[in-house]
Amino acid sequence: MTTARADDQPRSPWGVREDVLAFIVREARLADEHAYEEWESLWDDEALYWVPRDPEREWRDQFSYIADNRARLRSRIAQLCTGHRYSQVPPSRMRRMLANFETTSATTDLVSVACNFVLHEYRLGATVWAGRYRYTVVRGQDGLRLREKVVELVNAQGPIPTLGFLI
Amino acid sequence: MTQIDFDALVQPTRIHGSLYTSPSVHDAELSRIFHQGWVFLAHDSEVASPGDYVTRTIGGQPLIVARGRDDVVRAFFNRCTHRANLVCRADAGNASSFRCPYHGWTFASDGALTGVPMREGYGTDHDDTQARLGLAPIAELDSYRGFVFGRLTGAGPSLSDHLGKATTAIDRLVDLSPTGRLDLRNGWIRHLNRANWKTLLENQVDGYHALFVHQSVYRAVSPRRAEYGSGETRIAVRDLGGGHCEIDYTDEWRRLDREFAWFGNIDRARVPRYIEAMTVARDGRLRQLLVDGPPHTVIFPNLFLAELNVMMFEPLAPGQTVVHTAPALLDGGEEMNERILRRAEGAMGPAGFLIADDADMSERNQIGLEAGTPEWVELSRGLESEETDIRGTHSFDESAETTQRAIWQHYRSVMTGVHA
Repeated sequence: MTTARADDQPRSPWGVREDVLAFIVREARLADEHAYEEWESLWDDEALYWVPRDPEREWRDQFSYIADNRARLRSRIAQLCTGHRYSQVPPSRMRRMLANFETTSATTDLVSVACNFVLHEYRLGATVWAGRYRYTVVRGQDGLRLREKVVELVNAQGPIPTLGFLI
Repeated sequence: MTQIDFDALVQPTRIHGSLYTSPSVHDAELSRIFHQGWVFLAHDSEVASPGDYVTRTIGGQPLIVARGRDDVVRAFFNRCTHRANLVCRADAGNASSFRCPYHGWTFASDGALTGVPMREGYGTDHDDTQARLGLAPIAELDSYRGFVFGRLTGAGPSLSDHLGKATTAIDRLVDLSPTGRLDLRNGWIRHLNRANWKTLLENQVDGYHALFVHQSVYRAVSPRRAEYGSGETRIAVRDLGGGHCEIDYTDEWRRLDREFAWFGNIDRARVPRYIEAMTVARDGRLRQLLVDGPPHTVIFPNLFLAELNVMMFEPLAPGQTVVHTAPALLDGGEEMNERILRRAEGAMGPAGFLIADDADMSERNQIGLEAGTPEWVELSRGLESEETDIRGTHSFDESAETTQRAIWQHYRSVMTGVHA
């Protein structure tokens, strides 16, 4: 006897739906390569791009490194696009690795995925950033959109260096 | 150790570059300024209840600031009096006692040594040992309207002598709370800057850089809130004495005569309960307070009242400083607070629209300073535009380097021992 699955999407070796995994990997590459406008176009209108100090507390109640809604995300990208966002002039050279994926919840149109990451940044010097990414991806009529990206840094308590790029 | 000639290195309108890069200068600063002088330690609200504590590093030395069961706030060196282990590792918490994990010595929140395991090892000296070896308190602690300051070692002028005219800036911030209290419990963002602490201090009260460093914000996000450099603004830079200095927007906001010009021009109707509470608490002064807004004032050496944020500076090395930033939430101003938080996230910290770029500039400064020629940093701008009145020396050319000169002239008097 076979058990019916919630959907018939193909799965990656991590058990994450293939299209969701491809979407997340693309998001990481666009951030690494400073493809600001393309990266921004991945986002849903109900966006939360959040880098907390304390991931256990609600974003509303704490002073986070970043807690962008859609409007502030647009401003962040617009600032980077001026070419005068000095903390990214010149831009950091970056590559990030994602691993240990888990699907934390899934419905037909909403998928939450978490993974570990290591990001190598090189600018005035080399910096390693590491932690856990948590994504919520929404399946709309025109494909996948990023609704939430939470970046739980291992050193979230700080001090952390300047974070002018898209993490 | 060779003597550093601070009189020669700090001149009226130029500063020797080595003062930002030299390890021996850094060591002398920690000793003279951060150990022997008054420094900001914590805010009352962080240790609101008996047993509350926070840990801090001041001039490289670990401290515990704790409120005892007797409701008194004290500061201790965070070092077991037995074999020097770090007694408390947490950033903040509430505890009835501190127990050193190494050999189990226990200290009450007032610092008294209350427990020594296997006490018989001290024989007849035990009681004496226990009485003698409470946590070591810092030399002096005092506070002004919730801001707790300390002197780690030695003696000198009182806190009120140290603060001088800078109390007006604290008043200006605290008076925006209807209860006269701030709430800093939301905690500090800690930003590692590869720059000298004095560069960071100077930049906070630099009215010249904004047009350049922050042009990306003005272009992409929000227009300048004042027409810097137009000659029409009434923005002052002011030397308050004692190394304290500010950019003062009061006259500019009064010229515009709009409430909340400093807070996104919101309408009173957005914050009705706050207005009601402030009307009761501040009576006839409300309109003026809402026009004038918060301070933008450096309180030497490690505190910056950054409008509705509080920043403190922790020097680690000549080229390394941790900058701590907390939003200044208003007790009794809940309607204001979410907006204060969100604005703080937008502007401040390592990813902030403003501060990330300021940090990058300061790091570039640190690299530039390694070049041996020219030897001097120029601070002569706006000398002729200065005027002196009862509040200090100010200039209505907001690009004048009055504020940087204020920091350095006081620095020189401290480092040469003229001023404790």
